[in-house]
Amino acid sequence: MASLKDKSTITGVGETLYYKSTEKSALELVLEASLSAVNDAGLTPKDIDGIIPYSSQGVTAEAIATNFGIDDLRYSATTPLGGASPVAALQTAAMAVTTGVANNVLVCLGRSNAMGNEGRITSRLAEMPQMHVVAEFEMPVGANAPAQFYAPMARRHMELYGTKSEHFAEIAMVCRANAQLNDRAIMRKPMLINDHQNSRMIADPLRLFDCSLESFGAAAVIVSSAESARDMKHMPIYIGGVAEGHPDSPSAITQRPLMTTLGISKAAPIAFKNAGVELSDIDVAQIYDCFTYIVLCQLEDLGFCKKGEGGDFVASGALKRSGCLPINTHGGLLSEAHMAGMNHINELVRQLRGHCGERQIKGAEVGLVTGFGDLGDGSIAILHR
Amino acid sequence: MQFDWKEVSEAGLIYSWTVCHHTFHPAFSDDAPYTLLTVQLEEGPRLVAPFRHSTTLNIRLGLPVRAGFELIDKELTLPFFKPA
Repeated sequence: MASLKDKSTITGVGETLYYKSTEKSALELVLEASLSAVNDAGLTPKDIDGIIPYSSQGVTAEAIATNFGIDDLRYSATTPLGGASPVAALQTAAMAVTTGVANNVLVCLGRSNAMGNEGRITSRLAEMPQMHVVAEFEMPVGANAPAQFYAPMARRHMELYGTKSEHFAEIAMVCRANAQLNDRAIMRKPMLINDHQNSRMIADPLRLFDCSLESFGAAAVIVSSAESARDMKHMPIYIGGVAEGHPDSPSAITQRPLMTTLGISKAAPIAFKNAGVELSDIDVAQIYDCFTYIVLCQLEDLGFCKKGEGGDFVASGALKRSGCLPINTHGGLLSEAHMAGMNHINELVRQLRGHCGERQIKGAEVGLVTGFGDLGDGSIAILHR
Repeated sequence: MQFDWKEVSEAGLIYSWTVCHHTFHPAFSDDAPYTLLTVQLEEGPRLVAPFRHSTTLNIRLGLPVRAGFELIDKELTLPFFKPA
């Protein structure tokens, strides 16, 4: 089988400011972030010939192409995996530039509340195939939002393996400590364990500080072939391995054989094998963090510890900047902003370029970024300088 | 996705649960906090429904429960669980 290993690179990253509320439209935000990524790559808007937008709020490939003056768009696609979309889009972008279908693919995502609630991350719920089951059987009895869908996953993990709320707190605190070194981060106030433990209960065992932010703005990356990347502005950041994985049943979380395993458990071995990288090679990881528990579960599914040992792994301090697996160095969805994980890709690229200033992980050469969405889909990319 | 209706027994075991403190739909604001069980039915599927139980009961995985049904209005009947 032809391999994508190191054939494509991320050449540009960009974003808008992140907001708690904005008057700008989603398209306006996406254009601003995309232009920033194009400039970062040293390209011009007309050099973009492939577009993979996060399909929401009318932000289509056509709308971007029109505004960018692209008269020969050769490739467009969407990856409908909710929060796993941006990293899954890296896979399809890598395929496009490796095969020569396109030269520079723009992957972008924007969210705005200017038109009401449709920009909220939960607006994806109504479009999801899983919702046929959830809407008929679970919403009428009071399970209406992601916190309520994921809480039983976390509860079962706690009951089976002795995982504690304090373990979830460690993840939230790590993200917050990193956010304090990031001007873009929305939440920068220090968080101590008591702050987490005293935060109000949303859906037991998930407290307010176990939940990610609701934020607005846009982020974008440019994927180019490894060959053309050599002449660009920054050092190329190679896509070593990339994969997406879906849970055993695409139906509701409740109907899956194992409630404590996610789709990423299938994608991770493929990505690592294709990249020719071991777990111990990972210098920094940006782990999708819609809820703290989802981070802990992914760490197990990725293989950094055994199933059930996520609590101990987290408690060891491994995730801190000084630990063996620093995560979410920008603050993540929990403290920087909820850009459905596009911000995780941007942060990983900047870490591997060595451009992260005070929060730079020294000597970061190999990193991974994950996505999680649609109640269980997973995606992973292993990047290196 | 294609589903069929099949009659099942009312018995099952607690597979997991959550206690909802924050409500996301006005229909449930008066109920909070309410406990939602995920129950493994004897026949295989899992069903989510509220738990009617005394406050002294310790919820645990594997606890046997039994389903009941509540008439909400003429057109809506919803399941709930009680200890078996």
